Amino acid sequence: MKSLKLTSLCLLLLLTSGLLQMVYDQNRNYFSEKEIFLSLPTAQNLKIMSLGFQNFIADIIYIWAIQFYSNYHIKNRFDYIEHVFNLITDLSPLYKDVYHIGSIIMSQEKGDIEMAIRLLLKGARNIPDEYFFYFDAGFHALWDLGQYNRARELFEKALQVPSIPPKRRQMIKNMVAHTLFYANDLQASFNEWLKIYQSGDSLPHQKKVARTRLYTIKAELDIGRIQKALQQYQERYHHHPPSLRALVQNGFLSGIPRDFFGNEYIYDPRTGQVRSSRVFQIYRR
Amino acid sequence: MGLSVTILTALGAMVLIFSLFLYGSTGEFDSRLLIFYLLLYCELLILIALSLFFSSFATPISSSIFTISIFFVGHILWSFNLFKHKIQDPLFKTVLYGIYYVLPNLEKFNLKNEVVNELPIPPVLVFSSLGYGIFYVLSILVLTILIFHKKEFK
Repeated sequence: MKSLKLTSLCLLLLLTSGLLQMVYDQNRNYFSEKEIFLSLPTAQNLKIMSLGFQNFIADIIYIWAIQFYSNYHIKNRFDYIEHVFNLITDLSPLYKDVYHIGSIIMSQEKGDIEMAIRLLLKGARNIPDEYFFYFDAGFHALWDLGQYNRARELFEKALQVPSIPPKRRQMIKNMVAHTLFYANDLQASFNEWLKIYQSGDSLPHQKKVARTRLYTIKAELDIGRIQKALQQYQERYHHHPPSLRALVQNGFLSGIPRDFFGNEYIYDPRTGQVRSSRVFQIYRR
Repeated sequence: MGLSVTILTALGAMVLIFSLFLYGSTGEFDSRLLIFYLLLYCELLILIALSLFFSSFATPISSSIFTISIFFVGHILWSFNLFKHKIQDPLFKTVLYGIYYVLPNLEKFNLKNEVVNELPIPPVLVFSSLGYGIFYVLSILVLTILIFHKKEFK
């Protein structure tokens, strides 16, 4: 009987505390837009405080960071993002995931590409045998910033990492050739694609891609030269040449160029326009 | 009772020293600090009650581990609110609600940010937190008595 009374009393008290919890919850909107305050010590202090368990502390802060940066209702959540990820990577410099996920949050969520690249390059310094950091940083420089020379340099650094898997090496070589194309350095891009095309290491599908790129880039280079010669002919004789041979005969071209597949370019004497027999579209930024 | 008075004395001494130090360096005293300490004491009372409760049926080491675990769980219990909006299954939702109301919500006693950054502290939150703390402690104590009571008949 006494037990029953005590159980009832316990349940009654627990129920009352639950009701008060409900009152509290109704008066506090946990997920409305708000600002919050972060107090994180420096890595140096945390290293001392962790008593040798700095990787464990880095783990905890990393897990917290993933959860924290997924809280979209916190308006100022990105205020100290660089400090947070620098802190984790200072505590545990060989923790690859942190650089990867941190750079994704910085670039995709915060939209700060330079910050993401900084974190990735820190990863490259701390883990020199990982090609991925340079590759990812190069990708950001290429697609997000449109800084082609910087992207090419980063891709080339990725290629210098000895432990890079062969398939990935081929892919990054493609990226270098692409980057040169985007930078409008057609001749250099042609040379890179030619190396890929002629290399015994390239996979069949890569050779196929390289072939179409080589065709397109060569056509663009040749047609540019032919158009220039046509313009000079037009300026001197005030009419379009009857054929491309006339350009060679009059000394405007040293020879009639042929496309990468060995075909002649198609010339229309009525309009004075020249084009390749096949058209491969390369995506241009 | 003895434990709660001991904690009160220790906390009181710390509050006094900290307040004197604060007064000496800034020349003023923030009364909001008292609200913070009051709620902190409430949180400590809950932890004392829980450690007593666990001691009634577990070994001292297990009891300490359980209490420390509850301390951590209590400070992230608010995140259960996230599930309320995401979980569709009514049975799972009921279980979640049950866990949410049975475990102590200790984060509500944490007013550090509000005090340090001079943010408003709504009275309704303070009073509901205090009331919650008192009723929760009483319920845990009654549960502990119940366990001791059962033990006496063995």
